[in-house]
Amino acid sequence: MSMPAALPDNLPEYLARPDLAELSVLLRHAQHGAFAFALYNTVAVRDQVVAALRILVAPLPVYEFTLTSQQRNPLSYLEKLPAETRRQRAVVFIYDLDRANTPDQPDTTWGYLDAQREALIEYPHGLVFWLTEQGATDAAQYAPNVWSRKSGVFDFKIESLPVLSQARADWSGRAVEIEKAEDLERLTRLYLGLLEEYQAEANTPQALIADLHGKVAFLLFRSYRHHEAVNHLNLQLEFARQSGNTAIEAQALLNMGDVQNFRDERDAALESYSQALGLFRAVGARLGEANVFLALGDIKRATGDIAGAEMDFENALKTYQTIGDRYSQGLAYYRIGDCAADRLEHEAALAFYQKAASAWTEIGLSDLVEQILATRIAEAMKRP
Amino acid sequence: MGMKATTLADAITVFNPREPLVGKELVEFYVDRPGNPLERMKIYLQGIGLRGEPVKLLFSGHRGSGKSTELNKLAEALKNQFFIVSVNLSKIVNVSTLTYQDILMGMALALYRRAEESDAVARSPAEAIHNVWKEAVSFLRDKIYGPAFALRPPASPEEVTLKVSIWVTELETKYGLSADARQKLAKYIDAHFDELHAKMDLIASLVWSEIKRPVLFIIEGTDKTDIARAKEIFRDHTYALTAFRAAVIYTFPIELAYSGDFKQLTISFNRHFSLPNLRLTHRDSAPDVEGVAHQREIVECRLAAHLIEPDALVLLVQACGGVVLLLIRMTQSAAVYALSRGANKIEIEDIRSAIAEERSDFIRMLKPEQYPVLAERHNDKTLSSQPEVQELLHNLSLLEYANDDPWCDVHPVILPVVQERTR
Repeated sequence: MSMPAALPDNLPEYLARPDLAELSVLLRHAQHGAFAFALYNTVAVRDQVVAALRILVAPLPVYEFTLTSQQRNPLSYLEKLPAETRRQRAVVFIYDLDRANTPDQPDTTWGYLDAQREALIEYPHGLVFWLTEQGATDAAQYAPNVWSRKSGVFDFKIESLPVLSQARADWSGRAVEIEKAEDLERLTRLYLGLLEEYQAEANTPQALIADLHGKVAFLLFRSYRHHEAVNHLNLQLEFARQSGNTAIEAQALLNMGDVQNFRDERDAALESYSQALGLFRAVGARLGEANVFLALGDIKRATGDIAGAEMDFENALKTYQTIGDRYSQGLAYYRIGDCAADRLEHEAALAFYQKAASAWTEIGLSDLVEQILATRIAEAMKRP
Repeated sequence: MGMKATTLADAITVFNPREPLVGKELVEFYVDRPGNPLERMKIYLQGIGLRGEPVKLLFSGHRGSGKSTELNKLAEALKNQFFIVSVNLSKIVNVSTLTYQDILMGMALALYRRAEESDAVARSPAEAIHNVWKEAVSFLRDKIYGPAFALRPPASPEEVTLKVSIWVTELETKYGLSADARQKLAKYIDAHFDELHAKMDLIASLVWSEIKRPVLFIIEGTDKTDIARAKEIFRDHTYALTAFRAAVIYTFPIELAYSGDFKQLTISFNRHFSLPNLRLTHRDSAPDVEGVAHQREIVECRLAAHLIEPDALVLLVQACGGVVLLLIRMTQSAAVYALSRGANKIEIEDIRSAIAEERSDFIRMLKPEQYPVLAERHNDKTLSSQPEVQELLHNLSLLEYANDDPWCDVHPVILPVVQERTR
């Protein structure tokens, strides 16, 4: 199997398999488009396969589209493509055909898929539908007219349990990092899938489920899907309490407070933060404690209690300094600067903004300096 | 320049399982087959249809047997004698919830559009067109869009053409996507289908007076619905599907041909034609040399000889079971396998990989209780109206063949698994 140089030599087993090369060959050469079905049993690997395929099908543009219970029509992927390029060749990964169905309407996405066959054929796109094994069986049964016109089924399932566990753990154990806008949809899809996979297994630690609910909630919150975020936070709280994991329970309360604060439910937010603070203190989680102070300071400043806010930000800053968290120090510095600016003490404000800027520049976050601090610094310099 | 694949990369595009042959590809790649009913259908339509009799035909075949390509070929052959209106209902509505009202509306829309496209209506008497337009506008305003829908009447016959085109497009979009619009239309059609028939007859007569050709509808998508729904459509709404004065070919689910009430279903239709799968053997298991040769020809006319080993071609043809779509898909798969392992031709291992993929598909679909039924049918080769047999025909694990009488056999790809599991 020949691979382009862009892929590393030491590929894991689930990438170094013929199906990857075969799917990329099909997608590269099917000039009029193709229907391909790709099988997976963990979203952790699915994500890596897609990343590898992006390299292998280049320069063809690649788009990703996730079906949901609100959007079950696969043809809607066209809305993601720039109008002027819809008639040009592209590769489109379509996710969650099976997950978008609901128990009361178990066949709906298959019906849509089958109904849209003729419309889907109109475009020269290599459509890769990601399915679980059960999803493939359902697709064959409930969307026979598309299934019968497929170009192939490509298997990316992992049979080895240790490899499967490791692939999942690689994702579930890491912090959520959003580097660019597209990450939000991809990571939401990934963590929702991971959560579902872990929940389907007996003996998954409740603390792990709680942690994943928290990650999903964070991503949904960032996507402005507040109602769904709150649902996951409630579940995170429930699982954290059941598992007796106070640190996760505290984190869930902090996250809940953030959502409530964003929705202007300030009393509820204060209550959540206060409970979170107590729990973080009880387990000696200094970072969590500082994060609560930062959040409390934000609420106080928003309600005009500048002195109270400043005190909370300073409390947070002390702890961040103690534990050596430069990124969070930057957050605290610029908030203290904002309090100074509120009191029209622009020179003091400028000094704090510059401290924040150097903290972030030191750890390579100049983009944050540009996005968050540049305007503040310019404004403070203009004032007497 | 020919379109035959001269590289494996070309083969991936040329062997495209998504679409039937049409246009230049139809001219270059079409291969006639033994037992093809196309010629008989043509003679029937030319003999009776051209004498003014509104012939109503049913056309069935396995999923993937090549019905769409054959209908494209028929349309090409008859285009100078009939005014052909091809309707692919799958493009307009969800065929899994197909109703007879959908069929009628799809036909009416396609007839208006086709007549407008070919200028057959535009050159017709302006008054008749104005009437059609006025009725259409009031129907849209009163029944579909509500009072907010307001289009001024067209000022001239030329403008009529444009307007009809615009509202047909709007209606198609609205009709295909909105369940509410479909329900309203369905109720309206229930109460007024004599009117709709009259309108279709009017357009057909305008076409006749202008270009002297009878209208022939070719309806695809009516074979893609489930058996219960197909029975309801063809049995309970025969009048609606046959009473207008235009010739029609309806595609028809093959499983229904083996249902107990098939005779009753088809009594109001002139004839039922079935597109047989290409045979590998005769019923007595003797090789069918002609059938095999035709399947080879389908591959050879699209693929340069140097791109496939002779042994690989033999195995490919044996494995596809005479289903053209599978032959196309397996060739494409084999080309993908060959190319991804760096080869420059399809070899026997590529066909084996393609077979393994198809076999996995069958294993995924088949339920344990279906294996003994398949084993029995492999032994007796007999088709019946039992629901379990219809289900197997539907999923292609059981294939229908025809010499004089139809018979069946298990798909060769899954046969070894059937034998192993029923040993």
